[in-house]
Amino acid sequence: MSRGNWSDPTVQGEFESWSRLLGVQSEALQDWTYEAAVAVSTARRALLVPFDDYLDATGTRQGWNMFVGAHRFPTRAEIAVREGYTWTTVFRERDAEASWQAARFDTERMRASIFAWGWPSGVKHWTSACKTFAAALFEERSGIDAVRCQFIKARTPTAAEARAGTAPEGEAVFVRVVTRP
Amino acid sequence: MIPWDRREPAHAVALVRVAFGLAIAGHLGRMWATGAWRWIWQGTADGGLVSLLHTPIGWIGGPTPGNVEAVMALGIASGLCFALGLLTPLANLALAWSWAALTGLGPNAGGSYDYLGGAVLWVLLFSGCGGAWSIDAAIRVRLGRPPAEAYAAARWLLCWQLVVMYDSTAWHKLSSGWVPWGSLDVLWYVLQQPTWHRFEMSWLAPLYPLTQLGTLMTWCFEHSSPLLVLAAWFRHTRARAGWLRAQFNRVDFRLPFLAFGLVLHVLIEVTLEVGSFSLFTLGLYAACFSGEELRRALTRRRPA
Repeated sequence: MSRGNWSDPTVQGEFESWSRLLGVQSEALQDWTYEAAVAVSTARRALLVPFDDYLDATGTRQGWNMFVGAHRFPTRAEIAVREGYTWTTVFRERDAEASWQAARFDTERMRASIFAWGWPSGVKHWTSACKTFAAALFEERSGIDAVRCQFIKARTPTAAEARAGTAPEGEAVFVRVVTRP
Repeated sequence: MIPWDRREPAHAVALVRVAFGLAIAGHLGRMWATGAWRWIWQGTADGGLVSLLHTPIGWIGGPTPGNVEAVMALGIASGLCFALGLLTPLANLALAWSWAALTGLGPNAGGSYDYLGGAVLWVLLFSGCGGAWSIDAAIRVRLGRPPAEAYAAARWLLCWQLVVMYDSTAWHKLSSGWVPWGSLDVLWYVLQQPTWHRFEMSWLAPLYPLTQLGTLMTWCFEHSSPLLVLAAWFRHTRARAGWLRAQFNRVDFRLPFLAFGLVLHVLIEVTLEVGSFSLFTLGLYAACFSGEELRRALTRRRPA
């Protein structure tokens, strides 16, 4: 559990909703929730210690936190290459026009990874992954001198906005640039 | 209580076996064909994306490219043998080990279906799931031996696993977008998320109230899952007395519950990319019926 992820507007929105419903301050609710979650996680961790070897060997852990909420500010991964002064996007999630290595990116395991890397706690892995993407692109394309990996973070349009054909603007986050060595 | 040594026809656990064997072989085959394993199950020194975690692949020297390829090949071959019921216990053991060795390697590179696969394969290992619809069973018949039966307790454990999964995930759904007194907009947002959806789905906007209904029904469905194991138990003990048991047995609760689940998982599979989760879950549905029930149902449908 990473409290750093709670700075995300999706999480803050959840706390706002619940604090309104419960009639408490959002900050107080967050502090209380975090302390309770740490206490429960610590106790659970301690109870599982005798079973760790068995669980590691068999892969039989129980983890069912699936689609726990609406991610209202999701991220979309993008990879671009620079040739001279021009940046060209070679990969964008679910974009047939920018489909470098799309078959790999489309597998569920890569999707799960990219989802996790779009949160503050995943930046370390995103930075590491970007270096591997860059190395592969430098090898494939001799003319490029830099690779940029970033996420576009944007609020998902509501149904009313989608009907009206409007979409909120996004912003680039976790931008990493690797230059040719 | 369930006597741990009670036996029943193996048809129910055999169906679970076939579903998991094929789903895992298909999943590993896709990882191989796309080359995604090179990014996910390789360390950074070998062209992988991130540092890996420790898994039983360490027993054979760690996730070197050769080792990962060998374990994937073992997983695919054992998955197919397991589905066919050829040397079933050996295939089961090899498949469970391969799954554990590979799926835990990449941090964040997986989902709940990894745990579901692990949990179910180890239960199946002790179930006698090769006793029906298998090459092993056909060989027994050719040798003039009676069909091998399965342990009923293993099937009950699988049914319980399904309920634990559904109910646990329901209790995780505390978002204001899930609960009935909230906005019920989770399904809308999930279907718009580029990470998970198979194709762009803003065209659903005019049907937004339907996505809200779907959100509510999914939440209720998952929360009602403990009734599934209760219904299966009441069905199993229907000769006993009791008002609640009698009410449950007037209509077989399992049928509408699992029919709703089937529709839900087909829709998930059509619209979202969530790995083998739906196939695994639907495979477990067979464990909600006894081997006798499945055998009777299939015999009744067989032409004379």
